[in-house]
Amino acid sequence: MSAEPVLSVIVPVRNVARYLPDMLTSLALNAEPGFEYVVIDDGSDDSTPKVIADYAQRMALTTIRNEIPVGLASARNVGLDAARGRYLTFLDGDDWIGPGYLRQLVDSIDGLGCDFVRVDHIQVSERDRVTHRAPEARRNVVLEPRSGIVPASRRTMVDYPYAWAGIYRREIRDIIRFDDGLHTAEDRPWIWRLHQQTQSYAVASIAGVFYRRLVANSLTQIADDRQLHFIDAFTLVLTQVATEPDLQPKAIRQTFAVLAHQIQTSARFSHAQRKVMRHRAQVMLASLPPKALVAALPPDNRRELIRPLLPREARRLDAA
Amino acid sequence: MTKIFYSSTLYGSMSLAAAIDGGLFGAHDERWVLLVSNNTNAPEIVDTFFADSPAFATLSRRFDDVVYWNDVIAPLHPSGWIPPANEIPLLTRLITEHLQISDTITELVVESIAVAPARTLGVLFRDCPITVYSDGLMTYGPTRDEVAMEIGGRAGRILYLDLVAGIAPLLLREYDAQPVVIPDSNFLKVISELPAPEIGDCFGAPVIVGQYLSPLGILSAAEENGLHARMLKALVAAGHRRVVFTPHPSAGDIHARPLQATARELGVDLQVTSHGLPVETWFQAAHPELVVSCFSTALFTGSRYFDVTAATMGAEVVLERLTPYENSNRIPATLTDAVIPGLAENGDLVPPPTRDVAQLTEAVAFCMQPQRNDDLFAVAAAFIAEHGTSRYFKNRRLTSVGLISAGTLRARLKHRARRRAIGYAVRARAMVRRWRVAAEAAYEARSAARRS
Repeated sequence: MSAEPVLSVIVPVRNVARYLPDMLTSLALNAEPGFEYVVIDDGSDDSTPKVIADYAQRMALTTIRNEIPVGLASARNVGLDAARGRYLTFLDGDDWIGPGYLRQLVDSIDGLGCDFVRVDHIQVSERDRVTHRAPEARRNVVLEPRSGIVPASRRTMVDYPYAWAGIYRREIRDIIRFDDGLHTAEDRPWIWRLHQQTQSYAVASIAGVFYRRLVANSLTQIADDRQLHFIDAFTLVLTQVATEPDLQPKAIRQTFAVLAHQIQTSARFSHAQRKVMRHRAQVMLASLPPKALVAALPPDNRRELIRPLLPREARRLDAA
Repeated sequence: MTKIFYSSTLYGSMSLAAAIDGGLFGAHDERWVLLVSNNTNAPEIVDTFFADSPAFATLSRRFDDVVYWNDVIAPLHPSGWIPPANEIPLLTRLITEHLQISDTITELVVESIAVAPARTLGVLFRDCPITVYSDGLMTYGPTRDEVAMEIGGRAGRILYLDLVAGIAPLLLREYDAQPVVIPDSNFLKVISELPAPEIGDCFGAPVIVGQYLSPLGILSAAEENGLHARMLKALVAAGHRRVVFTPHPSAGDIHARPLQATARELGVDLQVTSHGLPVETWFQAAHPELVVSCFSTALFTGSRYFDVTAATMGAEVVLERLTPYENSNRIPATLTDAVIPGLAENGDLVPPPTRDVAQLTEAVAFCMQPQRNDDLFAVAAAFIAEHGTSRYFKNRRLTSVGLISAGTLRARLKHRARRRAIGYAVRARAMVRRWRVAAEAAYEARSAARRS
């Protein structure tokens, strides 16, 4: 086996034949001797395998194929198991990166010497580009990861959960594993663990991922039972903060925001799915302290959407 | 004093170099800055940008500085950014400072004036005259998008290569911009100074020049590969055993690989070029017998400057498919169809009927952009009276611009419907006849069997 790579880039892909050449071309342009690219084809049934095979002839790619798709979370874990680099990062197959981006990531974490570095990115739709900033004002300084979670009243680093917007030391590999089987919102419990369980991090003004907005067929636009996995995801988040009273308000607020959004857009679900969603949301909220629930209710019309899902005690408190 | 030039293609830079050498910008006694821009969908992933090529290195010597425009405005896309009106003074100040221009800008020289980034530059550098230079056959067509008075009113000259004998650009004629020819000799000299491609044993072999029409929605990917295969088959039918294929720089393998497969089936030798040099350098070095393409400008540069016989295949389909009617590719396709001989499947060259190309171009241009060119109505009417409306025109458009009446259109549609109905009737009758013959034969066979 060759020397330890500096960086492993984990790229899970599924049915992205149309966009994958852009990502692989940009990886080729970023290539350095110490960079290892791990592409996991998660059971594609379009021409994605052919695209990967074509590029593998021209550039160094470690390729793994899951005959049966296991979902984004588990596919990333497969990549983590195969990755050998001192640093790790993720990318999605339908985006692309700018020249020199991976080198900038490595230089940044090398210089700061922290557990992980989070970065900005650029959202693209046609010829329009908008730079999205990670919600932390202090840049290029080592911070306490838990300080990126609070306050509950503001948008914070846990509201910016994109796994690909960062670089991570191999030592935290167990912390950055995803919850197997989660098919949506898999990055929610992940970003909370990242900020709860690590020792140090920083945010750098590096915007090198070009993120395609509104790619049709992306999982977030499909309404099937997998969309309800967001409840499993937030149940995990709430469990992770159960013994942390200073973080719990933020977690409940975030849960409410996503829950309200899911209810507002629930027209895409069937009647039966909506019923399951309501029931499961009630179960998720039942075990939480009623006072904390009421304190976290949104101050606007979303309140009315959430209220019916609260346990009786919390509803009574809210009425009082 | 500073002149600002802008280019987004190698071909454009070659034209610009020839215009400079031909004295069209006077003596080089001021600072000349060239802005190069990569306008492809995702410029970040282009590894073959023309301004990084060795060919460009020989062209760029004419400028004091070359600046990569994408870097200046990153991460915005050059085709997507027009500065907001109230921020223009600020942005002009900062960008001129960034380009280290502290004195007067005497001229802005751009191609594709109607759209960003040329339009962006026109908006930013607002106090100098503008010279537009041609980026190919499209310049012979009318202005596509409305050009604001503040820009069009400063556009004094259109510099162009005299690719089609007898006609001049129509671009910006609504602003009375003066067409000025870039001397042939200077263009040839520019090409002779470029690095020469390695031609191996391909001297004289015919060349297929690929375009990239599928991303434009003109042909499907399969149709485009099919068209290349038909070109190759026709060349083989004409007796050629060795053919050169020059794929479009952005298409590369996507087009080369399927054509290689066809060549293997046909048992002929296909050489795919990847020299990153303009096809004109190949014409100069290899003197091909023939150049074939759908409607590439190379058909015109080849026949006009290098004495290469040019042939087109597929332009007719493009004319039929282009939509809307004012699609900018219509004039290049029209000129190709009207001027360049067609390559038949059996390898024969079929010369186009002789027509007045100037009149044809003006008639099509009027139909494309009637508002900006209403003075061309009479020319269009005269052309149609003489040559009819087939091939280059669409009934619906002719009606909307008032060249045929709604009554005529109705009559034509009725005529077409009637012909179609007659076609159905004829086919139906033939089918009935076949059934009857088959049924009678079966009856005969059965009775014969019963009798025996």
